[in-house]
Amino acid sequence: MAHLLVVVGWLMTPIWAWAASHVGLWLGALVALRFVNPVVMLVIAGAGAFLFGFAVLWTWVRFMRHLPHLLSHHMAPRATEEHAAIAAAD
Amino acid sequence: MTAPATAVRSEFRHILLSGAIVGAVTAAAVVLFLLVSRLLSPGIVASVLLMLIVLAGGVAAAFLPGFFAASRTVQGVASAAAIALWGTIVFMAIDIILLRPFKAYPWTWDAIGGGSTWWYLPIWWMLGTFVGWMGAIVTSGRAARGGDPSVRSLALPAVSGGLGAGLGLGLGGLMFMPVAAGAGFVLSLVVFALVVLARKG
Repeated sequence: MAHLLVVVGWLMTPIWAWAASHVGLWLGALVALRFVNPVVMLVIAGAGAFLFGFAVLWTWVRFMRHLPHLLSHHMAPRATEEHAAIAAAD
Repeated sequence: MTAPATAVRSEFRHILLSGAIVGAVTAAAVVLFLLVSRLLSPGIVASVLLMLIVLAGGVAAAFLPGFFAASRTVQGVASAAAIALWGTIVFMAIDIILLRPFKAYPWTWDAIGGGSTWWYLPIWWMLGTFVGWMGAIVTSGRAARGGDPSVRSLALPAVSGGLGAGLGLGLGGLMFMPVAAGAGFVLSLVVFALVVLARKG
């Protein structure tokens, strides 16, 4: 189950980046409506897409790198480690 | 007299067989990379050799699917993407059955994914399929313009981009040379694929 979560998580990376850049583009376009120069409007919308996409990608990769550590707290000890785990708990 | 049109190969069996070859070539490149990185001491010679292996592996992953599928149409590009995807799955099987039990990778490889042995396989499913798809678009675009659709000819611009990035960023000490070469190769490939799509549009 832990391996599956890791695999699914990494598979979701481009989806997050795409979705975040889409939201960034939309927010950038809202801000860009205050301007009249079309080039400036495009630059602002593009910058919003890049900023959101990169920020979410960076955050997600950091989270995914931390995920094995988080999952290890919820995994049962292996049979070979069971005695040590029980002894440690005692 | 015009040359006979190349038939797109999209039969299921052909896709599986071609994908198996792509996966085996990828695994061979990985084994070669690991051998060189273990046998040679770190330095400029080892970095250049590793960069060349990465670029050769990149060429195989990007252009072999399009070559096997004889990508000339949308159907051919889709077949190439399917071959590339199957290639990544075959590589995964080789990786799990052969490479992992022999502890082929250094601990730093797992450390990239936070200690998980499962981080790079989904990344390779996506990246391997993506570069195969891009390579097939470049192949079909070159063929449509009547150019030379051989792998050597198609790969030259993307390999040049990879070499430029690898030598520039690697020798500048900004990035590990093979990584920079791989990134430069993929980026160049994407740019060329976008140019093909823009010309068609």
